[in-house]
Amino acid sequence: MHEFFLKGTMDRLNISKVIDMFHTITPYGNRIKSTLQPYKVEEIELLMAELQELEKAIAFIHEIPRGLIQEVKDMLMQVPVIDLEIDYLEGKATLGSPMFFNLAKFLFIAARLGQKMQSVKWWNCSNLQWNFHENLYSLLHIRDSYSFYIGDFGDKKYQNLVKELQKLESELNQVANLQERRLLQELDLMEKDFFEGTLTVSKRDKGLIDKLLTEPSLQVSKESFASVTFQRIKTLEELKLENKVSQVKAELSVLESMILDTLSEKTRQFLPYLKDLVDKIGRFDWLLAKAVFAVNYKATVAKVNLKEKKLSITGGIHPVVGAELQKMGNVFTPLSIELGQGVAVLTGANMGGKTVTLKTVGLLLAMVQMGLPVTAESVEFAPFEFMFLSETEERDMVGLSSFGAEIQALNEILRLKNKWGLVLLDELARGTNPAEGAALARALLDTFQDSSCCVLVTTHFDGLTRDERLIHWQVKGLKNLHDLPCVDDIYKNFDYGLEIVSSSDTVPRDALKVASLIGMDGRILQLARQYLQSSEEV
Amino acid sequence: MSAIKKKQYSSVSFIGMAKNVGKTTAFNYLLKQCFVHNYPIGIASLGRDGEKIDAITGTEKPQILAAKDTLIASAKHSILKSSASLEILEDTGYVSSLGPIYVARVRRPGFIELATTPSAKKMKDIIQIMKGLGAKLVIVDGALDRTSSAAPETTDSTILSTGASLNSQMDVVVKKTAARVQQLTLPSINTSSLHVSSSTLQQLHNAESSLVIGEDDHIILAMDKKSLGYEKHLLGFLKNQKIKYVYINGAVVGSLLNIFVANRKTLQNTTLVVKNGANILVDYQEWDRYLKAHGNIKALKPINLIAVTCNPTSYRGDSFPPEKFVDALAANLPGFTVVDLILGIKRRNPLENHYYDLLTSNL
Repeated sequence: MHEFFLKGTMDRLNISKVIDMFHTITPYGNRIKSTLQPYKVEEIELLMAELQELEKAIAFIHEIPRGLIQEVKDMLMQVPVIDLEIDYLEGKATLGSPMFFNLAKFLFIAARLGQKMQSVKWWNCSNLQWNFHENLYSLLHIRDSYSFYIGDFGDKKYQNLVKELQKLESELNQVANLQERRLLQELDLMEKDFFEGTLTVSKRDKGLIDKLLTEPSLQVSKESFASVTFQRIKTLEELKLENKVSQVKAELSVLESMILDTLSEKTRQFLPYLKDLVDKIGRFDWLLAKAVFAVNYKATVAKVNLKEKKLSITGGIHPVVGAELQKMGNVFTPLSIELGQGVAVLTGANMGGKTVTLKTVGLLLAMVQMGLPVTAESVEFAPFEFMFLSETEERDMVGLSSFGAEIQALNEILRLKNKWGLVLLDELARGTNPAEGAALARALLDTFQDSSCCVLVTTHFDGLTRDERLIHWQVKGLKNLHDLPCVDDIYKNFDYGLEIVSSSDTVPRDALKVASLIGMDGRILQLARQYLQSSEEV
Repeated sequence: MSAIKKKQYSSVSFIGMAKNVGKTTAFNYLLKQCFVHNYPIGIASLGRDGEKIDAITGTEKPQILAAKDTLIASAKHSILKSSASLEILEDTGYVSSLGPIYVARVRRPGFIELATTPSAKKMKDIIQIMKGLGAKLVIVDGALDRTSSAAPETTDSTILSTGASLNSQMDVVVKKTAARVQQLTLPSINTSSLHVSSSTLQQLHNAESSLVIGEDDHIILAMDKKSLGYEKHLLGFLKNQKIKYVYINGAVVGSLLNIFVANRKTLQNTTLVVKNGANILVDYQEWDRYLKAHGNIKALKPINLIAVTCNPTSYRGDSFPPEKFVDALAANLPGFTVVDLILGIKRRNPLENHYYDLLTSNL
C-alpha cells in the first residue's frame, strides 16, 4: 500500500502552510485540522459528501451577516476541552467539582451554539445537527449559567447538615467574640484587639505583661526579645462547639464524596451523547473554518468527475504565494490548465514561474483531495490515487547526490505507473550532463506517455518538445514585447499565463534576454550570442 | 482599609522585602477587615500561597481563611485541596503547573489554598474576570521579592511588607526599606513638568526592547532584552551624541547605575526611565550613591504604594524593639503610613525633607 503524497511531496508543496490558513477555534477543530489526510479513491463517496456540505456552508456564510459569524466564533472560543472528563467517565472514575464544571460549561456553550444555529436555520443546510439532551442538562443543573457547586446536589439530609453547621459556626463565633470582649473589658484593654485569637504585648509594658500573666484564661504562646504573645484559653463551651463543627464537617465531606460518586455514575450513561457532541462541535468548527477561508480568499468547491480521467483548473491561484503577492500590492496571474492521462511538457523562460505553476497544480489538487475549498475559479478532477512532486530546488544532501535521489524517486513512481496519479516533474534529469540528461528524460517521458499517470514536466531540453504525442504548454513570457522594458518593468511586463503551442515550437530563448535585463555585462552576452549561433549552425 | 474604600482602589497587591516579613499576615489582616465590613472581594496570588508550611524555610505560615461569597482565583489542584466549599464560576482560560485556573465563589467558609499565576499579564485579565463577577476589590498576594516585581503592575495600589528577617541590624533594615520605597515610588514620566512628547511616551509604552532616545525624540538605538549588553552599547554612544532618555525594559542592575555615576557630567541631562520601580535590583548603598551622583530617574509605570507593614520579629526568633522599629521606619519614610499589625502600632510622619527633594534637585 502506498501513501497519497509520495517521497517528500508534502514538504515540497508546503501543505502545512496552506492548512495554517484555515483558522479553527476549538481544540476539537484543531485536532481535525492537524490530522488532516487526503481521501483515498475508495472513500470517494465521503469526499463528495464533504464537498457538498462545504458548498452549502459557503453559500450560507455568504448570506448571513458578518456579525453572526463573529458571534459564533466567540461561542466556539469558550468551548472547554473535556477529554479528561470523558477519560474519567470511560474509566469509571469519580469526577471532581472542576471536572463537572468543565462538563457543564461545555454543555452550556454547546446548547447555546445549537440554539443559535437553529435560529438562523443552519440545520437546513447541514447534517451536523446536535440537540441538547434534556435529561443530562437537568442532571447537572444546567439552566441559565454553568457554574458548579456540589452543595446544589445535596439531599435533604445534606441541606440540614449545612444549616446546622452554619448555626454552630455562628454560635462559636459569637461565644469567642463575647469571651474576647469580656476579657478585654476586665483587663481594661478596650483599645486593644485580639488578632487570630492572640494578643501581643510589647515588653516595654511590664505592668501589663505581669497582669496578663496572672489572668487564668490567657497563656503565653510565643515570646520574643521585644514582645510576648498571649493565647486565650478556650472555654469548655467553645471546645464542645468546635468538636461539633468538625463532626458536621466530616459528615458533610463524606456526603459530598458520595454525591460526586452518584453524579459521576449517572453522567456516565450519557457518554455516547458526549462523545458525539464533541465530534460534531469539532466538525462544525472545521466546516466553519473552511467556509470562512472560501469567502476570504474567493475559493470554490471543486467538482468531482468520475467519468473522465482529467484535472482541469481555471483561474487557479497558489494560496500562499497569492496572499503574499497581494500583501505587496501585486497579483498572482491565475493559472488555467487542463491535464489528462499522458505527458504534458511545460516550457518557458527563466523566472517564468514554471516551478510555481507545478506547485500550484499540486497544491490545488492536494486541497481538493483533502476536502478543502480551492483558490481557483473552478477545478474539475477525477480523484487521484497518489501524487508526486519532484525536488524543485537543489538541497544539501547527505548520501545520494541530487541525481541519485531523483532516479530513486522515479523508480518508485514507475512502479505505480498503472495507477491514476499526478506526477509533477521539475527540470527532469537536470542533475547530470545535458546530452545524457536529455536522452534519459526523453526515454522516461516515452514510458510515462503510455502510463495511466497524469504527468506535467518542466524542461529546458529542446528535444523533449518535438514528440507530437506530448502536449506542449508554454509560459507566454516576454516574447510578445518588441522592445525590452527597463529592469523595473520586468515583472509587470512578464506574462505568466500559459498557452498550448505546437510540437514544432522550441523552448523559448529568453535566458539571454532575462540576463541582460538583470544587468549582466554586455560583452559577456555578446560572446554568449556568438557561441549560441555557432552551436545552432552545427 | 479606610484608605482603600475612600479612594476606591479596585485592586491591591502585597509585596515583601524578604521571606517572613509578615506579608501574608498583612494580606490576611486586610481580608479580615473586608470580611468584617462585608466588602465584596476577590483574591489571587502571584505565587503559591496558603500552604500550611512554608515551602522554602519550613516555618509555619498563616493559612488563608476565606469568608462566604469571597471570590478566589486558583488552580484546580489547589481548589481541590481547600477546606472551604467552593462554587466554580468560570475558567480563566489559563493553565498553570497546578492545573487550569478557575474563579470560584466561597459558598461555605474555610481555609483555602491560593495558587494563581506568576504572570502579570494573565493576572490583569484574571482581575478583570473577578471584577466582572462582582468583586469590588481584588487582593493580589505577591511572591518572593524578585518575582513579585510583577505584582504592582497588575494592581492600582500596593502594600509593602518589611521586617527583621531582612537583616539582624535594625538600621540596615530601615535603610534597605527606605531605598526600596524610593525605588517603588519613583516619579512617573507622565508628569507634565517633564515636557515629554506624547510620541516619545507612546514609543516607550510600546517598546519591546530597551531604548536610547536622542535630543530630537528619535530612537537612536534599541537594545535587546539581555541586560548584560546595555553597558557596552551605552558607553559607545556617550561620547558622540546627546541622549535625552535611556529606557530600560527589564531589570536595572548595579553596573548600569554605575555608568551614570561614572559619567554624571555627560549624562546630567539624560533621564533614566525604568519600566517600574520594582525592576530596580540594587542594594541601598549602590542606590544612595546613584541618587547623589545622578538621580535623574523616572518610572514609566508608577506604583501606588499606600502603606508599609513591618514585623519586628525575624524567623530566627530575635526581634527589634517594636516601637523603635516603627518610629525609625516612619522617620525614614515620610508621607507613608507604617504599621505593625500584630502590636497595633501605627505612625505616619509628614512630608517634609522628602526624598523627592533629592530627586528634583537634580532636574
